[in-house]
Amino acid sequence: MFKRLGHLALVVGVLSLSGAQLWAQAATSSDDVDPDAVATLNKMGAYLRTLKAFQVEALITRDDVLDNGQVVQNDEKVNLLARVPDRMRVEITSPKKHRFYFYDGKNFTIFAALANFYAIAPAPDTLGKLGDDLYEKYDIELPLQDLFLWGTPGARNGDITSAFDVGPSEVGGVTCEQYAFRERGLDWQIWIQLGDYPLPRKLVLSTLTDEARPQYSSTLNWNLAPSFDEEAFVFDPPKDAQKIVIAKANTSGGDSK
Amino acid sequence: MNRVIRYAVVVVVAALVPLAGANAQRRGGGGGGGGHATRGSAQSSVNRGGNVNQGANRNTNVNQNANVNRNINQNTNVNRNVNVNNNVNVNRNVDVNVHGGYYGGGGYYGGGCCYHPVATAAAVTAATMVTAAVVGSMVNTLPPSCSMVMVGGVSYQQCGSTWYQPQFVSGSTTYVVVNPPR
Repeated sequence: MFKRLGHLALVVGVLSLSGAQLWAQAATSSDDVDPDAVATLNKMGAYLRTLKAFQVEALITRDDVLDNGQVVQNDEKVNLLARVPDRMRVEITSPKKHRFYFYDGKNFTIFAALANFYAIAPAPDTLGKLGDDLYEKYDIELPLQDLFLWGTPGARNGDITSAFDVGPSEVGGVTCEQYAFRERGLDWQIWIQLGDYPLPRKLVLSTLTDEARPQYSSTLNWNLAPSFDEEAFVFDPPKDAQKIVIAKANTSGGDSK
Repeated sequence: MNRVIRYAVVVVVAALVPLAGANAQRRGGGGGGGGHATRGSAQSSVNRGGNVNQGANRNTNVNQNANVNRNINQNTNVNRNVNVNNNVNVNRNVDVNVHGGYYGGGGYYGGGCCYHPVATAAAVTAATMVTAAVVGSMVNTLPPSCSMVMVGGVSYQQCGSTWYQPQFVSGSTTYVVVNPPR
């Protein structure tokens, strides 16, 4: 048994060491930030905040890391419709799930179409607050949250330790400029559309805190003039759909009365 | 007596082992590969901390010390693991009685939880009670022979003496073991 404990202690020690290394790395690389790259990012953020309504179709891949370090990639498709400041509809499709989120400025509804379960929870009054609120209260991570955070005080541009312009590129036939950024624990790249509509067209995140460096990527297809009506944001439960409980974050459920 | 205590300690250590994996699964986008336990998943947002760094977001958005806080928050995750760890106890049901239930794949489902390796489940199960599932523990698939019961407008699944309530946990549909509602 003591041998095992010793093993654990060793692992903890190694973890602390790598943390210190990361810190040193972040502190010494602050000269590597190309201000033009950061300025372009800010410009994109400011532009995103001018959009009153938009629809985004995103193809997303996300790596999971197995206990043995092996990486497994998962795919999903996200269809997101937002109307600023307080309406959103999200559909997530993957081989494993078919999930809908509805937000109408008052309530948030989550609907698991395969299981035919849904739940409704009170929501904050703006899209800008929704992501944090759902995360804090229910541990729900809305997809494409960055689209709502860039250009706001919630954007973490100040944490960037390295930034440079990779060069021109193309995403889905759209001419873009590719940028690479580094933060502590995260390398990320973004492809920003050139011209009058500086939209993010592609995003790749490499998580550095796991030695397997799992990646997340999303390719975005934008519609800046979506056609919709109010019904789009209202959930109409299918026949036999069961309303169930939505567990608070940081609990294991169970206390659900 | 001494022997009993010693055994108990070993069990605690054994129970700790799957924590690291269960931790990050909570944020796991895909929910693991084909029934394997996962230890993490790629971060999905530039502006919010990621899967591994769970609670980081809360601090991150507030101050510039996000980097430091990330590490702190990794520890926070460990607490949550304790909850998830309960799965292991229940998962033995799943292992024995694999069936599709509501879910197409009958396996991990919807970016949430997770099957743990059978070996892990066995290690923990050996020293924990073998009779009833622990209240608060979760499964993705119900054991066979359950029946839906409505109590006070809430739907439950009664499986023998164990009651499950379907819940969204971290955005994924999960059955949580609850005290009998009646």
